[in-house]
Amino acid sequence: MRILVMNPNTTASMTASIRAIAEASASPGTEILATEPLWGPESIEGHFEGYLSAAAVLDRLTTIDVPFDALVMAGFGEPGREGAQEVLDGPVLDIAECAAQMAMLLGHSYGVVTTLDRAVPQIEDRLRTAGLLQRCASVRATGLGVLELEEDPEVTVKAVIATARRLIEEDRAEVICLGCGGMAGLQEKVSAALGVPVVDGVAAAVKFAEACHELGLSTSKVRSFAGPRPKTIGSWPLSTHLRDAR
Amino acid sequence: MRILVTNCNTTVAMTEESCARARAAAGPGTEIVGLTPRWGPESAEGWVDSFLSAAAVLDLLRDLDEPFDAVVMAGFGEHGREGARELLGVPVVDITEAAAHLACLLGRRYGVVTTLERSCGQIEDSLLTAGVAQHCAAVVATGLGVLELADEPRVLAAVTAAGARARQAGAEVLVLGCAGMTRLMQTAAAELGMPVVDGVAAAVKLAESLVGLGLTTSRVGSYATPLSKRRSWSPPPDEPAAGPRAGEGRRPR
Repeated sequence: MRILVMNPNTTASMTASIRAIAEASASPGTEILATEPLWGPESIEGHFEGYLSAAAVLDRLTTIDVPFDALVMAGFGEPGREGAQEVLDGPVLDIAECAAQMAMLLGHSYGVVTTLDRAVPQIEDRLRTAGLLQRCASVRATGLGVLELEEDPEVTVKAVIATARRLIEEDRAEVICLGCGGMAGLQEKVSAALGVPVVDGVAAAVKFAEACHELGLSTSKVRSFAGPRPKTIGSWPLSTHLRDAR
Repeated sequence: MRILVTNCNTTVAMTEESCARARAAAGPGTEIVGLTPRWGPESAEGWVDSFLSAAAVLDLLRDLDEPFDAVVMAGFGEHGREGARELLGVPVVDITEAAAHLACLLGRRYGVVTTLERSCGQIEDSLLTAGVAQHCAAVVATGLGVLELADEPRVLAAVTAAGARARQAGAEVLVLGCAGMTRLMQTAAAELGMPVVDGVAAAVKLAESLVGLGLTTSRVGSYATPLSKRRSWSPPPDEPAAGPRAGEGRRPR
């Protein structure tokens, strides 16, 4: 099967690290394609950039001309998943939701480590809408921005471990979810330091995508995620519109 | 990898049916081993049966010789998963929660079709403690008992009718809430026009995913290993399993 992994921001080095973790967790026979939007923010930190990214991702989907069986949306707490479900026939997996779902199979409560404090409410809202907040002990921020995560790996690991330790000791989390695509690859170090399972959202989403595909399951089209009604949408897709206008 | 599939009741034919479903869903290289409790009810229908079944399944799991990588608990809405998680070092996936997790990826709301009306409350409670009840639109009973599921046309008609009720209640995905119904998945999905998720297949896939990612149950809190103590699993051999002793049991009103 072929899974398209969508980085929600325009930073190609993040796409590369997300692709690496997706490939590492995929089964033999699964092909991973990874890409990023053609426009939008270089990192998503806040609601404004979140909504920009959602539109840019939907725009990017209109320009993909290779077939794929499932879409993994690799923004932790970013909006847009429901829109992609309307547009696509294949299953759409959001990494925040998949991380939480997998964590719920491994412990009574889970905690999320994220980047900046301002990302916390967004992640909480994503988990609430997905119906998964009930078992979330807490979402805590490391204070490191999305692009800072790649700067000094040692600082990043230390900050993630320190934050995860507070989730376990103060908030009673039993499983840790890595709440940013840029933290991909840290699971083993964090798990070894703290003695709890650590779930990476990209890996979880790839596994859920494979499960849906192998069971022949895809998005229900009977109500919420029915295809969009035919109509004129001004200047859409924006990327095509801008290219033609040039 | 080797996945154990534990039936919740003592009916071997149902263990075999769950295993057949599990094998159909399993990836290449996954071995499925079915286990039937040594004691307990022949079908689990109600809380008494469910608590008995939980103990019987734990009894089965506590002294297994052969190595295995994960356990799938194939009782829909039955108790015991938290106990199995304490007991075992490998991931434990309950078909109730597994079905709900996959359903939540496929539609905004899901519905469950089950056997008897009396099972609905238990299933609701199981979804609630698993933290996946919020997106469940309805749990609808077909009125058919677990052991009445052999008559295919009758079962299909009942499942389709119950599925239509779930859809009216807002469900966009259907979960088949009894291992005995899984044969009908494809037909039911075609009749109802929405995805139909089978719990055993979903649980096998999630178990494979967890093993593949090297993840297992957290030991830091709720699911820590049981404390070391004496536990008797049967009456001592010299003492017959007698009724209540004097001074215990039912008091006259």
